[in-house]
Amino acid sequence: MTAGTPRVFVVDDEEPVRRALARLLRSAGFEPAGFGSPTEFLAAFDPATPGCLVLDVAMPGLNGLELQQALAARGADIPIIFLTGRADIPMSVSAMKKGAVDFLTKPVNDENLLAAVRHALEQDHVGRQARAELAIIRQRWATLTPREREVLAQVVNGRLNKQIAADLGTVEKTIKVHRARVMEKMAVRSVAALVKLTERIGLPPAS
Amino acid sequence: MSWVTVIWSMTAATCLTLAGVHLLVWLRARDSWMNLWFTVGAVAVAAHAGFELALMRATSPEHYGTVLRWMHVPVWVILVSFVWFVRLYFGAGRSWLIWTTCGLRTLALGLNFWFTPNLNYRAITGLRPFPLWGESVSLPIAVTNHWTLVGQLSSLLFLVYVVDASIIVWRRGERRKAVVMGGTLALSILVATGQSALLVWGVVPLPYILSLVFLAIVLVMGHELSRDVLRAAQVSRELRASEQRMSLAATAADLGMWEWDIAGQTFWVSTKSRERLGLGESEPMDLNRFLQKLHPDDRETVHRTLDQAMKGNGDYQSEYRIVLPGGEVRWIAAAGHMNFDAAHSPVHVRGVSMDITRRKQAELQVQQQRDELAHISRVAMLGELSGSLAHELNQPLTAILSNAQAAQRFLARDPSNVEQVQEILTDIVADNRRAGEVIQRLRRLFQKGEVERQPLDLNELVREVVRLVQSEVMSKGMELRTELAPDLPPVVGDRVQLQQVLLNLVANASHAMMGAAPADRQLVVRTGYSAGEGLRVSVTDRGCGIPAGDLTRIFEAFYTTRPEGMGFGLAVSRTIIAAHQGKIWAENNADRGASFHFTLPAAPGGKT
Repeated sequence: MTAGTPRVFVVDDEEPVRRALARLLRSAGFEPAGFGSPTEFLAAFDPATPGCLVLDVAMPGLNGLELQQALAARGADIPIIFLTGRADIPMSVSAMKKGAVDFLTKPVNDENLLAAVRHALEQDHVGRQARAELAIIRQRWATLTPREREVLAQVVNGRLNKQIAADLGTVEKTIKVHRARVMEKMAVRSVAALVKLTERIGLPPAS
Repeated sequence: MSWVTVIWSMTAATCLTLAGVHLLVWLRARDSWMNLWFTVGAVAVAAHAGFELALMRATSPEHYGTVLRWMHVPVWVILVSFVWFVRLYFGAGRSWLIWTTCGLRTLALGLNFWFTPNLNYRAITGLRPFPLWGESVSLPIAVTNHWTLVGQLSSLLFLVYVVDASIIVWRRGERRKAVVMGGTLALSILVATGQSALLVWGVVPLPYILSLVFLAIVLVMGHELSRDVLRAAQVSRELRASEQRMSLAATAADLGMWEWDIAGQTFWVSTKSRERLGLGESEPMDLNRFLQKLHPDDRETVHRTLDQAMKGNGDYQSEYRIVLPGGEVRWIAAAGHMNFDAAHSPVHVRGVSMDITRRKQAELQVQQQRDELAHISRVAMLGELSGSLAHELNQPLTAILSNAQAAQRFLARDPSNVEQVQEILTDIVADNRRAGEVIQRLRRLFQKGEVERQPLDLNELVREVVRLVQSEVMSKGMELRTELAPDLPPVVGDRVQLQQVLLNLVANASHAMMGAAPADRQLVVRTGYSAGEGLRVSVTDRGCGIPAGDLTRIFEAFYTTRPEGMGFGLAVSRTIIAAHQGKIWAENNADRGASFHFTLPAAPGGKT
């Protein structure tokens, strides 16, 4: 699996069904990959590959819901579309609660399946972007010196330079320099933007 | 009126008459040697009487001597025939006594013709008159021959033989025989020998009256022989009565009787059997005609049964249908026995037959009801399978729909992609066929068809059932495994009914495991050999088990532990297995859960 192109993983124990679903996905321009069992899929799964999962519920060995749990336990949040032979409401509710994108009944109509796949890939894409941004912010934050992090915390709390200087036992001019360095390292122009960033990476507002 | 003539003539006549009667008996039954010896003896006694009369009427010493000499011939015959009669009558006695007796008497006869005038006297010098019953008869004046002792010795030996044989017979328990025959003979021989001795030695002046003694013996012997004749008559009367009783019983029990003389190629059939076969009163019968009356499907079987009886111990038993002239079909049960000659070729067959049409009809009805019940409970099981079926049908339908829609998209995007579309169509056809097979399987299971007995592979049967229930069991989070013994011989049975039993057991097992921990939800179907009872199929679960008191009750109709169950499944299963000559039972496992087993006899003749 190469990172970049999103893949649609199809997991169903029956080969003819797997092949047909993969064909349908390919006809709609997706790049499907089939697996005969959840175990097989887990063995080949790479969280770095963008994509979504089309998963049959009833399978021998590990079933679809158990695979969902196993993935969650690994911290992988690949979007899952469940396919089932029977419309079992309690089962679908439980699957949806655990973050399933959709719960579709076999035989599935192409529009429904493709819409769900599109939606799932979109969700995966958005998720991946958000995670990527977050990583950049964390990286930037990691370049700050301890003193700069103290200043940042005070700034985000809306303290004035003078007050910060008094707190840290230094002069206002020094704080000004620190502040400018923080704004530059975090690549923001306004205090408002800085506040938003710190909220996203979950820094405590006050220490 | 001469009394002497009258008495001796009557003695002779009596003996001859009795001899005649028993000669006839012997002529009719050549192996009744007793009658022959009796006849010979009685004739000799008659002759003896004639000689005695001649002696009494002798006119000269020479005449007397000659007559007495020839009289020894009947005496010899009398002794020999009596000895053999007694031997046969008693069936006992020492042979050396017999042979010595006969030998001595023969020696006496030889000496008799050696001496002049005879064995008794060296010389007869004159005759003297003697008054007997108002008549005058001749007595000899003579010199006694000492060799006469030889004859008397033989008589004494005969006496010894008789006494000895009588004791044996007495000890054997036939006391009447011993007393009557033994007693009479011993006494008579004693009297005869005594009288003869007294006479010859001239102690008592008396003529020979031995014929009267012999007559007594002949009468006793004749009487004893007639007892046998009388007994034969009695037996024949009893036989007739027994035959009547038999035919009465046969009529009452509605039995027909028949007899087939294989050697003589004749076929006797009782009136009842004639009616049954639709035969006329005087219509001839033979094996071919009989076979023609049979239902075409049964001819071969009847022929085979007869062949087997011929090769075996002769017992014959079969059930067959006959077709009456009007087209009506009757079921007949026949049983018989074949008699063989020394070379073990069959001589004739006797047998009885019974109309069992009503019983057969009842059996058929019971079987139909059983099959119907089996069908009903199969249909009731449809609910159990619905989940499985939905899955089984959904899978191919899913594949077909997705394939078809993929094809539409491929064509819309790139009309030249024929290869891809062709591949899709191939898959669609295969998926469609798969769905069709599911329906077929289902239809086979639920159709109300003829129950068909055929050789079946038990493992294949199990695999088919597992295919049917696998997804249902799986959806309940259970694991269904099979452990099938390889190379099992086939069983004979109805595929659908046996599958039904297995389905039922698997359904029950999965219900029993509903409350079990996920790790325990394991169901195993095993096949293998059963000790002495053919093949065995076992369904083992790890569920809640069966209360010990219910292990047999669960097979009763309407017994159920499930609120939605009807309590039919196991009852019907038991009926089906019993109809296949098998057994079904349940037991709790040592650790947890229960096992159901059923056995089926292996098909005769090995592999399919």
